[in-house]
Amino acid sequence: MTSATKTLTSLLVLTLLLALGLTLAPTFASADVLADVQSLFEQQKEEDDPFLLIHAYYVKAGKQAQDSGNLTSALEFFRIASTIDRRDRDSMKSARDLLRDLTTQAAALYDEGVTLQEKGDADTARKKFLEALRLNPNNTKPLAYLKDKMLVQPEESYVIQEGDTLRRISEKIYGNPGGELLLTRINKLSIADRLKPGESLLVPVVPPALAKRLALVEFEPEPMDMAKPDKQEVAMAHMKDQPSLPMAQKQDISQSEATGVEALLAMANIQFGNGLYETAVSMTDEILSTQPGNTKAADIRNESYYRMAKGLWDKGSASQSMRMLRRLPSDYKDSATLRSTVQAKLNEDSEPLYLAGVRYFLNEDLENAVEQWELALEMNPFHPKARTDLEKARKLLEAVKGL
Amino acid sequence: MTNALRTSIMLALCLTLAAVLPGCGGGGKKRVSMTHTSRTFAVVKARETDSLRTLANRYLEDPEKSWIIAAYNNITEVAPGQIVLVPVLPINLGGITADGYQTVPVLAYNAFSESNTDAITTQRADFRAQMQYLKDNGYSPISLENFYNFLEFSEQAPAKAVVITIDDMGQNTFTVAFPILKEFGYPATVFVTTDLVTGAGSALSWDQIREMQAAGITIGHRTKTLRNLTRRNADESFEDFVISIDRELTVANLTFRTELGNDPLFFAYPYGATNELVMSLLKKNGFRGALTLERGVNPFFTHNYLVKRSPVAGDISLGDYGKLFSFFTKEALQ
Repeated sequence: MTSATKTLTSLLVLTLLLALGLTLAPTFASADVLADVQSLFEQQKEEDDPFLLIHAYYVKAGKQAQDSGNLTSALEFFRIASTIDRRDRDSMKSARDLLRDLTTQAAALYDEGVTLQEKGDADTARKKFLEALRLNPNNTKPLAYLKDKMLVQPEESYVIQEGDTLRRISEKIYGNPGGELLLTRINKLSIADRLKPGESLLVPVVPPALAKRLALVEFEPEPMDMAKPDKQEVAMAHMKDQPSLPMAQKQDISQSEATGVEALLAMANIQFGNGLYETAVSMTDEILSTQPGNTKAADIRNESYYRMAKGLWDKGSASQSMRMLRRLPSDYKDSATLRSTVQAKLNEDSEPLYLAGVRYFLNEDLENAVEQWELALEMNPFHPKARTDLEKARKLLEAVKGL
Repeated sequence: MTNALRTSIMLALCLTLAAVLPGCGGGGKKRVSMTHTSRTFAVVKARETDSLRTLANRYLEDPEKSWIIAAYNNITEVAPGQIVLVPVLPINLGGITADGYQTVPVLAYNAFSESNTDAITTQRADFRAQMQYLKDNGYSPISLENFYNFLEFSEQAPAKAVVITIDDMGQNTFTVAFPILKEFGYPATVFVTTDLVTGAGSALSWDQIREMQAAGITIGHRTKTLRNLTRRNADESFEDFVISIDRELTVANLTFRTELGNDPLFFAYPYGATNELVMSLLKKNGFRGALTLERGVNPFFTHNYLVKRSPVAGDISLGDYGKLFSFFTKEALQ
């Protein structure tokens, strides 16, 4: 390098170091910067590697940040310094020490957060968890607290008792045996699977209103002895513990804002016209939930159910057809007639199975009786007697096993 | 770390190097190494052919991460010979600082049209103006996947990240919104209700959905029939209700698998409504996330199944549109 170039370069470096001093004014004392400039000039040699200049800055910035207590910045700067110069043992050591200190601090903050959380001071706990994550993002334990424990737990665990069936568990937890299918889905079981006492099941939290029994519809089984006060208390106590989602109310507002009733009704009409009755029903149900008197929506809804019921009956699916018919007002068109026809067919199909169950029952073969009645119910979920008899037989089985 | 401090250091560094490097290049002398790398950083002298994307590809293994280099060095492009710092590990997961934390707004669009506007319908000119607004203000639309990387604390998001989602109401998603998104190069997610995809009249077709997916649009799940999953009808038994909402998820998934070859990872609640039961079923069905219609923005510790979205009204003014964005929540952590 010629001396002219060198002078020029030095001048530029001086200017820029001054600029650096100015921009870093809040953290770099001016005396330090001048000393820095001086020493750089003394040290600069022709073969200097420009990377080393940067290296020097980062070492300095690291020390400065460390002195002012900004440990995360200090760690970042020392890491850069030691990246540039692998022989810079001091920066490496500083980075290592800082990392250790930050890890310790974050762990302590996490512990404080957990204690605060247990004491019920969720707000302060949250700050501790956030700060712990900021200081040491590698320790993600606080994340679990921030994400799940402070919000919603969609499931609980239930330990299977002697004599439990999925229907009975559903009865205990929800006050309604109809959650059987839900339990099979969530736990990846089939209805036929045997439950092993002592093992755990995942039990989704269901808002009580959703699990309410239907107001005695004619095919719904009698509530039997499940309605005993003690059982109900179990269910109620469980429900009281449930956090209800805070946004449930708010969403009713935003949904009507987001999707106008008129737009929904227009869409429902299109779906109905295209023969997509299920979609039409979803939309009209949504309208009717906010405007129960909307007759246009009610007309589309009823006609959709009626057509689905007829279609399913024509395809030979009596139980599916019955599900649709049950949604219709009894005086809708000729649905009452269709309903008795479908019911007769269901009874006809399931009666032999039901009677076989009765024969087993009379012969005191409870296990086979239960099996036959389960089959009968599978064939005809609306069988008037199979369900009550099945529950009785299960109770008896339980009692026998208890002896 | 304070951003002001980092920025001032980078600024000084750029100026310094601009001056030093030509000086050093003047005479023939010892060759200096062009890159220094470690587990945490790469300090690189850019080559002739380098751009932010090539550097991101080389050091972060993903050209899409070029914004990380741009943000860290406070630059918008890279010049040959420039020295660039690449944080190899995420430098600011969750966007937490001592003063608060980052939030990400998620927009929910409904319907589009050429020239009609109503409460839910955004017309072409307005949508373009809104996308231009994002650009002019330096906002960075990110994909839903990257947004969930932010939520799950595995990747950082740009400081002004936003997410664009569309709850599809018809073909105009394809004819109006899609071309504008392509023009701006913005990632977006379209939530599809499978029974609505008939290809007839004003409905979307699977061909159109496949074309959008091929162009990088994320396709999300919004049930089979758009049933409200949290409301049991008065005449519906609990069992029928469970069967029905289960079908809304699983039957639609079969359709997605047949038509697109994959199950969507993300779900939009019809009418924004959800509860614990619905979330259990989503979890069991393997969904990575689900989005409500509750207004607001999302810090990283938002529950994966309770992401807030701001519905964009069709007749919103640009001024009110701007109020949907807020990128930082102040909160002293100590």
